[in-house]
Amino acid sequence: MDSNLQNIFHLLARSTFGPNLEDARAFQANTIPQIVDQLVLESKPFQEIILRDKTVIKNRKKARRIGLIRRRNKNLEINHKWLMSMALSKNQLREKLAFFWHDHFAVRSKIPNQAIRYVNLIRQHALGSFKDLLLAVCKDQAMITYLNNNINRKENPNENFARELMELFTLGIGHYTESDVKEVARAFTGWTCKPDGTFVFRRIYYDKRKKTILGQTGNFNGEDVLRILIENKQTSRTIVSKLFFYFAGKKIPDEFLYTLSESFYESNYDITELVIMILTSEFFYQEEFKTNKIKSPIELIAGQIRLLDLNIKNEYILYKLQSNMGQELLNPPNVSGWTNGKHWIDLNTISDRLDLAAIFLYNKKIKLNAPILSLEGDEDEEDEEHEEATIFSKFEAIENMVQKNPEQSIHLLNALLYNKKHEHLESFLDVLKYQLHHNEITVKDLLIKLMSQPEYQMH
Amino acid sequence: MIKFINQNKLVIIQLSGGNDGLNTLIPFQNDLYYQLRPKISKKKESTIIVNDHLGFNSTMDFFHRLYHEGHLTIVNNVGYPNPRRSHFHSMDVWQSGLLDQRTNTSGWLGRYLDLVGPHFKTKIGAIAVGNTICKALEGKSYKGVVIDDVIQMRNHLNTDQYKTLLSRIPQLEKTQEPNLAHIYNIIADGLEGLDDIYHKLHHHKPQTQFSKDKLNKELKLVADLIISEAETQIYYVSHGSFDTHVNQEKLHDKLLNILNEGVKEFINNLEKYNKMDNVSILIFSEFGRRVQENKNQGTDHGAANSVYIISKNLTKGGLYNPYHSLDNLENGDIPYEIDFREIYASILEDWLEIPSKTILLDSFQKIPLFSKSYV
Repeated sequence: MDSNLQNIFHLLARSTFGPNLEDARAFQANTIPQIVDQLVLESKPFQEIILRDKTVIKNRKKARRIGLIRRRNKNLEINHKWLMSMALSKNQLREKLAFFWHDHFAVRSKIPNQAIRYVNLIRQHALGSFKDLLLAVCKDQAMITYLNNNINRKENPNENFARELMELFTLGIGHYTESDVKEVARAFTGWTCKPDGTFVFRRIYYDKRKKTILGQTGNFNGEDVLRILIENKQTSRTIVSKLFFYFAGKKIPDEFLYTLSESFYESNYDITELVIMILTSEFFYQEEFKTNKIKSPIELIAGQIRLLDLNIKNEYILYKLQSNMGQELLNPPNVSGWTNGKHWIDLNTISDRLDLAAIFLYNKKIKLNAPILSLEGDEDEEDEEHEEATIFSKFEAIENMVQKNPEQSIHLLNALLYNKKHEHLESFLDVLKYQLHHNEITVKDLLIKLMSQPEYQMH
Repeated sequence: MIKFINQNKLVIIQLSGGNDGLNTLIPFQNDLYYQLRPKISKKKESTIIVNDHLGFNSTMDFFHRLYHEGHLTIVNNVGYPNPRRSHFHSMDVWQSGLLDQRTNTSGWLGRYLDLVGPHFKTKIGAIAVGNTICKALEGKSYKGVVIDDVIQMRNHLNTDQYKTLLSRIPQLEKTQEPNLAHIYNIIADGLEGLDDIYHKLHHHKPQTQFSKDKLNKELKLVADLIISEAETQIYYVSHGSFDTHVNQEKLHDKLLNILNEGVKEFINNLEKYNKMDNVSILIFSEFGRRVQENKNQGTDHGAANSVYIISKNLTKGGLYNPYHSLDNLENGDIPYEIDFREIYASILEDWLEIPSKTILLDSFQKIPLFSKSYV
């Protein structure tokens, strides 16, 4: 396999939701730094995800009954639009980073207004300064509610938010004490949101006495705490470690961690700069980092939508797939986000994952392996109504390429889909070449065969 | 440390949504019960009398029989400290066996599987029957398998598409790709496990009779697998929704009726094959319901609840402890007296013969449910 092409696909696999044929053609003659620049440029604009207006229901009784169903549908709309944006938006790098931040600042929200605000917030700040992102997330209604800071009062401090702020969002375990947690909780008393979602500081609940946090003493409030945490280089190290793992699939070596975290710190926590440093480093392109990650369900689904240019109108389908595969947007298993890697693959998820291309391309019905307490208001009748699949795929570009040059196209598809030459796949690919050559297989079925190999589960 | 997996099977029936224990086993001598539930209370004459102050819901004749045979124990006032009245939170607590799942999202039986997993010949030690992904069975390395139709699932994997994948494994093992190898191994293990079950079913050909409700169909699969001597030890089934906020009586009675019939068919079929001796059934719900009825002829989320254990190996059967007094409620709810993990401890130690502390991540005093006289 052409090593330059391999590097390009490696970069695209990690910085976008998967390379497609268009990307391959656009970038094949470029250098890595050029491609990274292009990705950054394309992600400069920010497009808010906007929901449909709701029509007012006048009848109060009806409104109450419809309320639950409507809420469910709004949540489905948010889920669908976000995932489709990840797959098809031109701002790929931004969306990839936003997905990272969703795991880092894990939030579960089933209240549509809160949820969409949070989603747009992490997407907006995804490539800016981590300082701004941190502050915005800490003032976000979904986060405050999820971590109970809305009931954190002087008379009755709630430590949940304070603990996760230090353990998960900034310093990491081992770099603060239980006493720090208590003091930080006190500093964040009164830090909450109004019902309409705007942040508000309720002085009446605020504990204004002195606090001692990480060795510093003062009349610290929430913003002071965030300043203290940002000024601590450990925060930079935590973020850099996590982001490197997200891109490279392995733990960052100490030397590189030092270099990157110093730089990140000095740049005032500039996320774009950090991303550029990682993606243009020679280190990132070592063999050990290539195709070593198992795609998370979101990455797998988004990647296929992107590759096949799918137009999916039904807002229930993608939710069902996420649920079956064990990863739903806005529904992490707990505050520390998702456990990645091998965890995604078990007998329950493997069928849907391997068969996903067939499901998409043949508009197959997807049976929901609903969690025991599924969506509120979920009735079997409604399920049937949503079953009508509406997926339109137009992979004409791939089709044309294959028809023009069958033999070559297998090589390119191998590169595009697996980004590796696998010895154990040689005979499988030979059979496909033969079938293609003798018109014994359609392009659609060819793609399905290629995308149903375990190798396509990796990236 | 763990030397073997014993021959005992555990079947869990989860009553999802919050079963109303008070209308399952009715305290018909209690005036407060009638005062607080003017519309939805059950009259004494409509119950199946158990003793001078309690009677079963009229739909539960089989439970009544089990009670008198000493094969049903009812543990009352079961819960945990600071209960959350949210379905999600409370179910997370019961399924994980932990009050706080911040750092650990595994299920209590998942941790059991992690511990004993290597002793199973195939990898299907626990099955969640139906379509429901089950957190209780999720461990770090082992997970319960969701099976709706085991034949269909096996046949789906037993095709060329999947079988040709297996032929690549020897070549793959020479490369350094642990994540890719993991995927292939899951397929191989899955096929092996499902094949094993498939062949056992074909060998034993269980002739079981069940009616067509969802619960009955799922219990049929469990019965067929047990009769066919499948290696699987844990079976998890869910029934409901018992979340009866509105017009409780009709729905609740219907659900209890299905539960009664399901358990009856299950046990009768197993007895036909002499397989009930090694089977215990745990029936629970994530919380009970408020004692006072609401304005919609229903009840809202409560706290502590009753747990039902069915087995031929109980120390004495009947009521383990009395209902909590209804004039001494906490915020209108029955407060817990017995931590649910004491029941889990009992099952783990006396039924599955595994030390419970490593599974429950803390020490709990097991309540004496099981006699040790089973073979």
